[in-house]
Amino acid sequence: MAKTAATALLVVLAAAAALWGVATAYIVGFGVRDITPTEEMVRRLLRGRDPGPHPA
Amino acid sequence: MPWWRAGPQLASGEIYLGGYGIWKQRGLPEGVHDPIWARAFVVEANGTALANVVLDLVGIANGAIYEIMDGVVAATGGAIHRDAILVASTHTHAAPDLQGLWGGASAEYRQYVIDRTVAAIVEAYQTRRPSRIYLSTGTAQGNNRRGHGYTDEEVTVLDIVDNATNRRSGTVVNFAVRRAGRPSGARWASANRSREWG
Repeated sequence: MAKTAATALLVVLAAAAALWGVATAYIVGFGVRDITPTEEMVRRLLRGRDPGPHPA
Repeated sequence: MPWWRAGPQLASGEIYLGGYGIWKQRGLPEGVHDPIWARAFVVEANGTALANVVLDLVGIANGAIYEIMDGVVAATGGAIHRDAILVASTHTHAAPDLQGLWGGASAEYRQYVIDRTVAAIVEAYQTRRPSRIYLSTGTAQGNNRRGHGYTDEEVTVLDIVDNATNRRSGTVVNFAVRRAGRPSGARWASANRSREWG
């Protein structure tokens, strides 16, 4: 009985370790760029009127 | 070129906002209310990299998406495969029209978006670090303005924690919401609320 319980515990631990291995196998990165039209583009849209400060 | 063809490249410097009215009915924008962004994340596992980029646009024509894909493949030396690049739009109704349905955007701006979107993905790829990804889903009240019977109310959250520092490096939230917070008459470029999620 004790041997069965120990084996079950080992199986659970091994499964947990395998899951942890999967969970830590990712490599993740982030990147961000502002794609707001530039001041020059906005100025042309406004036909020469002052667009004010660019918000970015 | 017929005006209804998706993704026209205007020769002039004109940029129309997408989302409301028919061709050029809305008129030219009056300026910028708040910045719009290209946000990218790259996940690599078992030697395969998957890139996902979200643009604050009402949509984007497939031709521009193909150019983004080609740019990423070239910039990463093929490390990110063409079929592993997902390009999404938030559907803000207050950003330049890169579909060519409401007046289009200038060739200069179109190229600007393509170049910066590629740069965002490449930055994500180059700064990737061993991480843990936590996934959770829930629901939030949806609002289908057309009264259809089905509304996708699922909220999915990816939380990424850096293995080395045990600190959160980023969070990705996906929820189907229509980004039309400003009235149809508004002519200011805006991400329409997505900054609150950013």
